[in-house]
Amino acid sequence: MPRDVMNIWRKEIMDTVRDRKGMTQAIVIPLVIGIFYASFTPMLMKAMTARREKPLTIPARGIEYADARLLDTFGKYGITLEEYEGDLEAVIQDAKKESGLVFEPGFTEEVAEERPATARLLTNSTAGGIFGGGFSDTRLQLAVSAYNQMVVADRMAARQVDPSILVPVALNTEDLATPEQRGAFMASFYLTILVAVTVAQGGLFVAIDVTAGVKERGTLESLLVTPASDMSVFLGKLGAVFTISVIPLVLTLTAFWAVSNLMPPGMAGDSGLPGFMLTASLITGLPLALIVSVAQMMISVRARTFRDAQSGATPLIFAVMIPGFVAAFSQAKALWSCLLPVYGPFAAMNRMAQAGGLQWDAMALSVVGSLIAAAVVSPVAIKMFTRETLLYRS
Amino acid sequence: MIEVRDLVKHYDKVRAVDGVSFHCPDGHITGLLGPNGAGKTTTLRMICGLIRPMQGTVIVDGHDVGQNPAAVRRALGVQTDSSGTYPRLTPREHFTYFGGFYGLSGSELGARVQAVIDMLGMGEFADRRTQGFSRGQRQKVILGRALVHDPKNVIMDEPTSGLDVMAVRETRDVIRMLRDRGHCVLFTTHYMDEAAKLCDRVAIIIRGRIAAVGSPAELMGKTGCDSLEDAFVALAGGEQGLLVSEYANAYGNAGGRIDSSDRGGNAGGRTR
Repeated sequence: MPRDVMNIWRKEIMDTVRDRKGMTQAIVIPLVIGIFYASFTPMLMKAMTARREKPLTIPARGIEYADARLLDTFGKYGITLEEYEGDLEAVIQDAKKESGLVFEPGFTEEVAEERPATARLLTNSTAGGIFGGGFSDTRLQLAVSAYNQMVVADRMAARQVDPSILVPVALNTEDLATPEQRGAFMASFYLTILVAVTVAQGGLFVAIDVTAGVKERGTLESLLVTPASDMSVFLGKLGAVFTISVIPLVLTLTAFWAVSNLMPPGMAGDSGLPGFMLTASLITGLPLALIVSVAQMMISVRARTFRDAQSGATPLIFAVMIPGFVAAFSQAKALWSCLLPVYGPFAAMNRMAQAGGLQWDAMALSVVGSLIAAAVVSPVAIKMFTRETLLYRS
Repeated sequence: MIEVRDLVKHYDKVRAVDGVSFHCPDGHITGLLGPNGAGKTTTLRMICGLIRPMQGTVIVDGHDVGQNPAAVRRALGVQTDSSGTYPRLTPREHFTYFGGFYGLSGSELGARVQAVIDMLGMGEFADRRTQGFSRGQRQKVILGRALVHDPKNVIMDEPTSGLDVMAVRETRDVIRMLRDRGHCVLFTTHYMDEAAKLCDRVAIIIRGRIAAVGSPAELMGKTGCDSLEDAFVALAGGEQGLLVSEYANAYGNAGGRIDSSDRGGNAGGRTR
């Protein structure tokens, strides 16, 4: 039997490797996804940081009424006001400018006389894309807050009052997360999603091709008339589906790890994937890929055509991806949850990311849970792969 | 040698095969003839062990398909009725793959693969992927993978269906060559002239039952017909009988029994 299993496995792998469409789906797409996810977060963070630190020129009206110290404070925050001659409200409403400031006559006098002085900040939240008016607003608010503290401190000093009475409680934040935890934190979010997407889709094309595809092409019967046992046919094809589904999993995780770790310092931020997470993801992801491969074949083998099988297998994609997304967006998974089929591996990955190191108990539970699920499902799958069932029950 | 004994297979109310018995000796070409839906393919599938019969058995070279289906399949080379090939594999790779299931490997397998390629005249396209092959070329691939292990017994399901004249002739030559080498050949066909030219023995199956078995000359003699086609129609109960047969196969087999035996049956006289 092992010889027949190997024979079928070898043929299915060769057939798949030569199929450009199948290989694109199995290798190129996961690689691109892995690289995209790995580079997307650092690049987004870098873009946001650059936008935050970039000198900001804001069109303004009535700059001559503004307090000189306020303008100095703006300067310290990289904000320069520029007198605008035209219709400031109109140009902001048209989203041609992100924001603008308006000072009314008497502003400086009101500050000096300790009366509330008001400046109007005009913004358009839709201008400038996701890095638009909101950032101008935030930076201006910070600058004005700093100016206010400075003025209040001066006024209290003039009244011989200690300014510290304005701060009855000081909250000093200390981040106790280890570098490994910080490194794994962002990665763990993407990792569960990546593994879910890859496992759900990686071997799907092959699972359909070796079952419904061979029926559609009329090649199934020629295999069934050989002495190969039903079990050999099932295991040979399952082996091929599993192998092909593992390739994108490994490639995606490796690409994610490589890109997030090989980026220049300062670009990767805290989103680099620590090496232990790569190991943990593979250990927990492989049994998951095995269950999904079995399920994909069970669904596909009942279909007569490739298209029917694709339709039938779509819910399965969600059945894998939804637990992955739930694990990515939720916190603090109980240890027992790692035993749950499909959800367990994602829970284990998340626990390890939060702990900042390998957790053998979580990994072992997730592997055991997956293997139990595979043991429960396999007899049903094997029954579906008997010759008579393959020929007539679809 | 293939011996079929009282095979029965029902699908719900449809009696696809209902007590079929015949045998195919070595060194003979046996044709299994019948209208569409008569039970030919179901019978072949039971012989190959693809379907478990509800009753009866098949013995191939002394192996009972119910007790040792793998041994039966090892003794058989089967050309299925579908013309499907693996489009991304070459004929040589097809033959190597299928030869692997019969214990062949290494240089022995390579030699057998080359022998089949030579026998079927496939040298020019043996190392091209089968995508885009003509039907005749594909049929050679299917035939070749059935013969790669040099089986003693060869089963062919409509081997000449859809082929052009030259391909039909080549296929018939291969069938004759197998017979001359002492193989047992069982094949199904719709073409009466083909059966008359090729077959040493013919089993006519109507509505899942054997209507007659014998040489083409015997069947023509028994029915008083001067062609196998007329003999076939007569054994099927006339042209009306064929229509009833096709209808019954399509909508459920509830018709009466046609006596069958290995000696051949006489179910009617000349109809035209």
